[in-house]
Amino acid sequence: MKRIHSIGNLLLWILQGFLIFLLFFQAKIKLPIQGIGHIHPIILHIPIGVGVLFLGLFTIKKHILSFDIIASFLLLTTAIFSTLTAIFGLLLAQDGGYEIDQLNWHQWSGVAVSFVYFIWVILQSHFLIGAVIGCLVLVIAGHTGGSITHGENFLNFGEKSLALNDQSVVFETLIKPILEAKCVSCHNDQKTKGALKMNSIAALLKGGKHGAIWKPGDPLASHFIQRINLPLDAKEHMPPKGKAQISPEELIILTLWVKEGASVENKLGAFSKEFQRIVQPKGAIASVITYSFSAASASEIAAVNTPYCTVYPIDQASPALQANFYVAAKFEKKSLTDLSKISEQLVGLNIAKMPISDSDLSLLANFKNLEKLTLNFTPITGKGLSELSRLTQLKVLSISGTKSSYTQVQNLLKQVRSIQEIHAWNTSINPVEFAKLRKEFPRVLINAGYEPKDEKLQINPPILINENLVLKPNEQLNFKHTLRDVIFHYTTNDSIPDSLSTLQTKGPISINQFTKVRILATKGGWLASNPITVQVFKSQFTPIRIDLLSTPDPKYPAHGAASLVDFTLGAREVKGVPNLTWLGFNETNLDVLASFKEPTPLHGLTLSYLEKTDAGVFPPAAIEVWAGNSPNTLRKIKTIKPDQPSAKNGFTPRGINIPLPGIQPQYIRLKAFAVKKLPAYLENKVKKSWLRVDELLFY
Amino acid sequence: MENEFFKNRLNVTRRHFFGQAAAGIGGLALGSLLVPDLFTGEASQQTLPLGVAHFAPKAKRVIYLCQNGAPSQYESFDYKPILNKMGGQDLPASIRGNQRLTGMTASQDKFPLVGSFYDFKQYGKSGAYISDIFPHIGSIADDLCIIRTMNTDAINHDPALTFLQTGAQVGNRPSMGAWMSYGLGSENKNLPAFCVLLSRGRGNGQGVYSKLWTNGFLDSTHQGVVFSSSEDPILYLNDADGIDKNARRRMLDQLAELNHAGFQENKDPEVEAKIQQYEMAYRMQTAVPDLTDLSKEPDHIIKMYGPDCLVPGTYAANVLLARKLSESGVRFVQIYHQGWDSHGNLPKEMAMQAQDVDRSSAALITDLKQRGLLDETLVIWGGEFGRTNYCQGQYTVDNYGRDHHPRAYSIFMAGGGVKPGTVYGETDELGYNIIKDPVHIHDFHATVQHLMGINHEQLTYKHLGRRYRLTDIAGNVLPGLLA
Repeated sequence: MKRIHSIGNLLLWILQGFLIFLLFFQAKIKLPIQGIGHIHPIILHIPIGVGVLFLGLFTIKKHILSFDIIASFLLLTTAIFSTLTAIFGLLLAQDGGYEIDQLNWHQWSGVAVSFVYFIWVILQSHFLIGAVIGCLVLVIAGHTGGSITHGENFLNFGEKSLALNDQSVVFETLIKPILEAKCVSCHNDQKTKGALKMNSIAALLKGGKHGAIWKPGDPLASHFIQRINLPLDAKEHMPPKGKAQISPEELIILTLWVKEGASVENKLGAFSKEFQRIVQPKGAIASVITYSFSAASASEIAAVNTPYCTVYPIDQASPALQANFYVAAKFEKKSLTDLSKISEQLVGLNIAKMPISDSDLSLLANFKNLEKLTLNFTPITGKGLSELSRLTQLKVLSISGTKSSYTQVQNLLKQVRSIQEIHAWNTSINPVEFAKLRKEFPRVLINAGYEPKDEKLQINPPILINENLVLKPNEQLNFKHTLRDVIFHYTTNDSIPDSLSTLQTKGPISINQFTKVRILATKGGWLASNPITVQVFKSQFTPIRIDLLSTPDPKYPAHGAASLVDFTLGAREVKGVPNLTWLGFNETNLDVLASFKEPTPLHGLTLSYLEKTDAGVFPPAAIEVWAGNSPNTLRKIKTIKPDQPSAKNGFTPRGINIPLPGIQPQYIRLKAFAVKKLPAYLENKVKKSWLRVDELLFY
Repeated sequence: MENEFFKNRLNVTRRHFFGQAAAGIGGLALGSLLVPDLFTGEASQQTLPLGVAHFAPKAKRVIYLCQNGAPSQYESFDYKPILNKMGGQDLPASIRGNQRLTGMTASQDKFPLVGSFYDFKQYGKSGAYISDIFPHIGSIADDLCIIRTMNTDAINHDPALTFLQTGAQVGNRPSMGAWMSYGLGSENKNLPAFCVLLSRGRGNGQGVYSKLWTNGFLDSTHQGVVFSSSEDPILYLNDADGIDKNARRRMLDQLAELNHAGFQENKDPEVEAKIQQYEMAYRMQTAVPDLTDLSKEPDHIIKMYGPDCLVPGTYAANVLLARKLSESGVRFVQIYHQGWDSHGNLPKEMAMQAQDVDRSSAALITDLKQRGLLDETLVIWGGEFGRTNYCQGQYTVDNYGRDHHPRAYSIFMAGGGVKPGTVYGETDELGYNIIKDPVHIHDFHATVQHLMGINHEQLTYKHLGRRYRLTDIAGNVLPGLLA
């Protein structure tokens, strides 16, 4: 007796240890045997029985001679079996498919039962308290467990197989079992609710007190489908609240069955493909590939993962692994050799664009289960492809963008008969050779890729690099193109560039003064781009001081005189936002004095101004340039009258060069006069004229 | 003896207790056999992707070419010649049923039917009807799975687009891409798993908002990263002047140390997210220049996508960049192309929009195919709802507009395990209602997740006391769409 007791005691400790372990590492457990948890519903009745017996014993305590012996024995038995029940319960929960909140309650109350009895086994006193608490917790655990399992078919090891085939009569194999499980208990010969019997085909077709219960082809008009779809709390809902309910999957099957005619005779083959697909056992919808090799451990997988090489399982249940390499600049051959540690599990490998050589392909020969290999745009010449001949599982090979040749691919396809697809676009294989390959290997999908049509598209215009088009003394005009081998053509005389008459250049363009540059791009095989037009300003000499001698209009003060030499071109106006990039003069004149540090050998000056005649903004009517070596002795050296626009126009920034040859002044004074009389084409719609300027530059 | 034995509680000495406890440790050890890597200490530091597919996926990556503003199905994929015959006649009220109308046409007293301004042709072995403004898409019809029976709950752009992207009309749920990032992790640890590219066409446009690519309640590492439409798609990636790589590395290491300390104190998972994001940004400095460099693309690739693909910020450029991102393992590339909201002037606007997207959309599919990537990349093309079969505003045969229509519209998918060369679903003669095989947005989400190896009912996240999923409480995988 003592021996049994101490063995039992030891067992209890072991089991408790195991249980606690399970509680901590529940999420990480991988069960060696599927369905082992299903022992839970078998043994759970033992602790209930013995536990209740243990409590009941106290009522006849007086009549029992060796009460302590029996009580202690029952306590130990209850403790051991409640612990076992808890353990198997946790394992059962691993299979998933339970409502989590409900499961939590059951799990923790069940564990609590085993703890209570375990504690009292250690205590060995106050048995009655233990028995009462134990039973109370048992009730909770029992109730929560009952509500999880109610109506479910538990004693079922492994997957439920419906054993369906084309010849299965749909009603018998799919519909009847649902009705029998969920309906017949209230609709039969003995109990006939709503005058409806559902226990035979004849009775079903007859219907109940509301007549036929389904309307073939129209599930929504079918009485019993409507009833099932009603909210659970509705009076009319079927099956009634509290009874086992129709599951969503069952409802889908019933609905589709009615939709497709509600035949009680037709075989599965006579139903639509969709129906056949949906009624297949769960999981069949996703094709499952099984592998004979075992999974690599998480640490093995972790060890071959680097920031530039990602190795991951194909899916949660699969031992198969995929490895992808990224970022050519960080490629290390070691990462590739390291994959030999998982050579058995590797079924997919993508080393596209990585700097590997033909000889490196021999490393891949070890990956005997490799099914998909991507070598696109690697520098291999194709010589190494023969190394792949040992890959007997290879199904898909991508060698697009490599130098692989016809004979290399031909040899490989001869050697590796498992290959089903080869993607060889942009290789040395020509269309004739592709045709030969297709003829020789009719079962292989040979993808030659897109064959460029002989169409001429227009190339894009060049892209300007300069952000600011006011160039400083050492700056040049730079442009580029996203395509390689593009030739640029440009003009500086406002004519459209063409390939014959204009300079061809790749380099930057030197600009000496305000210039209107037109540039276009050309490239063999393409139509020339549209030209882009840029107005480039140039500042060769910067005055040390600039003074406004007239007052700008308060609406356009800019930042005073400084705005004229800030090298920032005037911007479009945004309604409601003050524009501080233009100095504006409303029927008054610009009068400005620029002072240089010393007499400066100027070639000329540039004034940039705005033309926007629909708002009354015109070029200056006249510009006068005064020069000299002291502010008081300036001489007028030039007067020009810029061209006036002859029609309405919108925002058009312009510039004008005023050459000043042969002078070396220290001071320059410039006067620009606003237009006084508005042209007729404005039809009196504009009331006053404006002069707007933004830069005064010296070259 | 009995007495002696049953007083054994006295025997529960410390020594006895530890003796028994040893047995308990034996039990622990037994359990440890079930967790292979428990005591190797590496399991917790493993760098496996965040998630692994529930079952073998068909598609590993998605490129979603979202045509923002709702392109008309009547001028693209749902050929309804009867509308041309009945042009100008009123839409029978019996067909319209109780359909709610937008504020733009609700006050119209007539609903004149209007047929497509463009002709249609049949393409490929599937004989799919595709309108003449999409000749390049037509040329790859046998790679496409055209769905003509998409339907949605919302009737205005913002809720509809939010619904399409997040599975709910209110903007607080994670976007499709964020769910994929959360469920499947990143293939390439040097790039974000979810990237967003924006472009705008010449038609009437509708806005896009960051809530469309939000991580919602998921960890912020799953948020979509918006690329700039400028020449430099990812801004601020270069080291600041005077900071070299090593200095940056040291700075990040120190910063990570401080962040780890902060994390120990407040346990805010966002701190961990931040550390990861800094690390990724650092690695992106190497990974990205390679990606955005178009100079290595052969000429005929440029021709395939059209010369616009060299102009940053255009749809074509974004599509080409999307291919490069996807090829580099970005899980979900989301493109939004604005300008499809043709309430008026539809014939002209739609032609311009089509001109901008037709060539490059088709090129993407062809290009993925020739790289052997189409079977593992799912390409989706389509908008948030359809347009009405009746005219909005003044009806004329060659100039008309169409209002929003949620009951039926067309999209297409390609690659990634969808059935190629298929035209799925049917609308009635006037295209107003679905008569066969409807595809609700929830079904669409369920199916896309299925293609990615995700059981849409199992990928959940608990937030504010309930579990959320992309398909909320609905959605069915549609077997008819699967290859």
